[in-house]
Amino acid sequence: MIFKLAYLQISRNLKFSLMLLSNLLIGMSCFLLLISVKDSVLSSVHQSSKKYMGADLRIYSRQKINTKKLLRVEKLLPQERSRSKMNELYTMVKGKGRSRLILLTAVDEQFPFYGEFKLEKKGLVFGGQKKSIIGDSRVWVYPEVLKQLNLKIGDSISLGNGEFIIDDVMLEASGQASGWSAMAPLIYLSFESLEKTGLIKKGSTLWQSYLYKIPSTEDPVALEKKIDRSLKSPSLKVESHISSGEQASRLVLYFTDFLGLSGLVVLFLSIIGVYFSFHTFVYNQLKSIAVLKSVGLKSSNIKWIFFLQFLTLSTLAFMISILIVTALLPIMNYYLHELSFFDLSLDLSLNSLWVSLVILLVLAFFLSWPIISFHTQVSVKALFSDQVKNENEFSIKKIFMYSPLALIFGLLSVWIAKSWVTGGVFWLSLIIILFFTAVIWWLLVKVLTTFIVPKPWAWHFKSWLRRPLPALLVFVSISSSVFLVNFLVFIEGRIYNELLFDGAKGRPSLFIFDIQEEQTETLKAIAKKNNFDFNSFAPMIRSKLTKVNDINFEKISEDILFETREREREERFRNRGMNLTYRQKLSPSESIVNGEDYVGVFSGQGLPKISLEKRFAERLNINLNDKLTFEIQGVEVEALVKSIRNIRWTSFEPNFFIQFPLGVLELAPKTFIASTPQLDEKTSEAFLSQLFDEAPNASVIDVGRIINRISGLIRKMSLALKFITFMAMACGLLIIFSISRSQIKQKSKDIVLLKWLGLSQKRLKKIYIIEFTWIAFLSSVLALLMSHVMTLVIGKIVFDSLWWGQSAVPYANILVVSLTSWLVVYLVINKIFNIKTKSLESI
Amino acid sequence: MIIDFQGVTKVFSQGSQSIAVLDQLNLQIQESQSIAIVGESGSGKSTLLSLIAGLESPSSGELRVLGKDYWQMDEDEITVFRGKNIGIVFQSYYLVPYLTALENIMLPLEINGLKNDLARGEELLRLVKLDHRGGHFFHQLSGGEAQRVSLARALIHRPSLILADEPSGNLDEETGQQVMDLLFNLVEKSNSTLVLVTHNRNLAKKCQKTLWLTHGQLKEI
Repeated sequence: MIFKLAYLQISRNLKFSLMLLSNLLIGMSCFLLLISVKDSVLSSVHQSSKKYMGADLRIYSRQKINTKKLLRVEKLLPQERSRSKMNELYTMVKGKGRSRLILLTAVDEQFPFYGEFKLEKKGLVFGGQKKSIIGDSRVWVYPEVLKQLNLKIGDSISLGNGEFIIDDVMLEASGQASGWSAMAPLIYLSFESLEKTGLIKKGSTLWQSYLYKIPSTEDPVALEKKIDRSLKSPSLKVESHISSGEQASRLVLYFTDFLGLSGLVVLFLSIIGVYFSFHTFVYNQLKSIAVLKSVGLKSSNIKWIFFLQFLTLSTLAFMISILIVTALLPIMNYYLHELSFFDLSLDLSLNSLWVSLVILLVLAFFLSWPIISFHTQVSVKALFSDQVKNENEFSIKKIFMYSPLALIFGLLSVWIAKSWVTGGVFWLSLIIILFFTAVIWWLLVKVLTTFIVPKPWAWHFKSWLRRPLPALLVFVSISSSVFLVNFLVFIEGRIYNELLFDGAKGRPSLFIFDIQEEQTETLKAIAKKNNFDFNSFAPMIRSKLTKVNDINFEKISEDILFETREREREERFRNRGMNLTYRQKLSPSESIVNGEDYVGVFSGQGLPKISLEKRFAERLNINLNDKLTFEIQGVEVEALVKSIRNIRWTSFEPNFFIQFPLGVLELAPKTFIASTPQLDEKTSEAFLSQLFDEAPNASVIDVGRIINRISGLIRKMSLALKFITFMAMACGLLIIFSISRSQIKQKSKDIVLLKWLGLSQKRLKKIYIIEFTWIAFLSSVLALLMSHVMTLVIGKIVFDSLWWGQSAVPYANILVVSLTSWLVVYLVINKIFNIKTKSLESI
Repeated sequence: MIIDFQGVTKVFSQGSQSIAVLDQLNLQIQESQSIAIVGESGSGKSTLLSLIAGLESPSSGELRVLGKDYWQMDEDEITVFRGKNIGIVFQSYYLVPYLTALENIMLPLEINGLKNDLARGEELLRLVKLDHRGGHFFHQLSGGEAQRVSLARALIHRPSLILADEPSGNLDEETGQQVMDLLFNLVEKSNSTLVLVTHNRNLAKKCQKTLWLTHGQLKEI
């Protein structure tokens, strides 16, 4: 009986069913899509990470690893293990009179343990297999090297002091966990060949890695933590293939986090839309509920009839969402696969389906049950007096019935954002926005009551004031929905602009580091010869922070799993060695935000006054006037934190977290880091060629190449963000439609009554259009203001700058929302007027 | 005894004021009797029907319907009892809009787990002269037709007690007359007890007994 009635209600109320279905569909599709993307990304990262590293675990350092230290660490590894070694360094390659920056990679016979090298002529070469580069002056090069230097297989190239023959072309290679390959093409050679180059000198930067294959029964992450806890020196680091994979795919992980939050916005909008659609439906069934009760159906059974309908439609929406998502995933795959170092394969996993289904069922229950419970309270006795309606139709108590839903949504936000902070802030902001709009509405009603309503022409505002709570619900719902859509539009634009670097204008072309003190003048002369001056030329001193206010600054134990992304970041950050610099003035990309003005020269009295980057200080919990003690090659240096500064990192200039004044660190062992202005290809090539001859140990990073690569990725990300924003806007419009339709339908009786009293259709339309369109207009204006304020706040917190949302879409939304509301009222009143009724009962 | 009210009082509070709509009311109705209750608007007729149907509880007094004391039953038990033993006809016909006329008539049988007697449903449709309208929905029926469907729905499960609240109140005189004739005819055939609330004295005269509700008390006319 219950099933039959539920089925009949759905099938014979097709308009309602479709409306509810479309609301559910948008929310569910978005949610499922985002869950699938997130799950697929993580699973791809974990699956590909072994191949990516070429091993289970690596121990690495930015300098040559001390054998004693290594043996100590290896004691923590299982006995049954295999070891391989890899050295990487940036240098220049010269061939046919041209030079290019490359990443020189020395490998042994064992490497890689997982994955393979794919060569153009020799095909696949696996770890343990004889490599033609071992024991011979031969190299394997990336295709770009051949192209840039106009070379072919068999030609010879110069690397440092050695001459080498190009043996083959590397098409694909495992073992790029260091991530440096993003900055230059690779050349592979043996360790013997590396020696021949003579590039390994004191002071040159070399990344040395020891790679391990461990039994599959061992947990590489647990081993990583165990080893990390035992490491005393910050220069030695350990990484499992899983951490390495996640680290390498940070961009895509952050991107999926943002997608997750956008998905939450769509889900929230969809919940509001579903609420209004379902509420209208149940409200319209009040008489039927009373009749069913009068003929003996228990309240509990009636509740189940409605819940079954809701569940059926939700399940149907879920199934259709699966089809939609299956169709959309290949498109998402196209946009996302380049964001990771791996080949991503996005698919709808059974796990994603289960998780989504459970979440959606829980949400469906907590959303629909309060509506059902409330309306099934209607009494049969009302049928005697023809007053079938729920008294206290909307009340504060009713709002509290939704607190479980709000709580679940909050937990969902945290879960999706993988961060208590991000998820919590999102959820809390939403609650504040709802509360704030309610307060604004209350103020508006007060103003109207005092100044407008006494006017004879303003009587259509009276229904707002006499029944303020339903109107409040409409106002809050429209405001928050439009706000979220606007905010997404602004933030999407903001992220795009922030990361797009305004093209590459004004950004440096090359970064040169490991410049020895005695080479500085030579380099400046080469620059002058090529008609440019370095943008910056900064000293860099390696150090370790040993004490804060005379208390030992030790590494925080990593016993716990990182429950959030920000915690993980913070932990990684703490355990790094620190680079110091000294300069007289701040660079144009720096500004003091707290403390004293920066004094560039140490007076010699007291402790030197240093400046710290704002977030660096926050993460390490260092405050103004704290005393810091650094160890620089065994020598202790003390300083006082006297200023905190912001750095605009996207300037791509060499900047440092810790900055000393002149007169303190000049005698410390140091290297220099320099950046060039933007150079054309010819100047860049000439400069690099001379640099290779005069300072072969200096390393160069082609910043332009990175900027261009990231810009391409950001463009693709932006398209994906635009897609999700579009979904949010579609959902928002559907909500406005649902809300307006629901509200005007609830006023049907009033409309018929006014029609009976002789009001023309034109007049009636005018009254209700004014009433509804005003609410829509005012709430969307408020939404625009709120989204601007929120963008400013987020801009300040996240990007350290005030930023005014720049998009015409939120302004157009005012028009679109008002027009949608106008159109709905117009159509519904037409429909009510055209119904040939003899009594109010047919409505 | 189908209905037995002893000293029933029903008080409604409106702010600080209390209004006794029924005041120490006594009512005894025997099996198969037809009783008309007349009274002015606001005299408490609907409240009396609500009390009989178990939709409301009295402020004081004793009340038994078909031997059952509603005080001893919870809401669900009352609902099931009402569904099985009482048929209600409302002034506004109140059909379930997404069910056809025949489905509306069959509803009490299905809800109360009684034998799904389609033949009886069709017979009742014929008796209310709507055998050609069984597949039509509420919005496709006229007011008189809708009220006839609601009459059939109130009788399908052969309840012992029929409560009718101004069944012809929303109909024109001729249609109203037809509906009332049908009601009396069907009640007589089913041997049920009828409690009819009406303003119409002529209609009331068709019942075996007419009671006037005034000042919270019933007086026989």
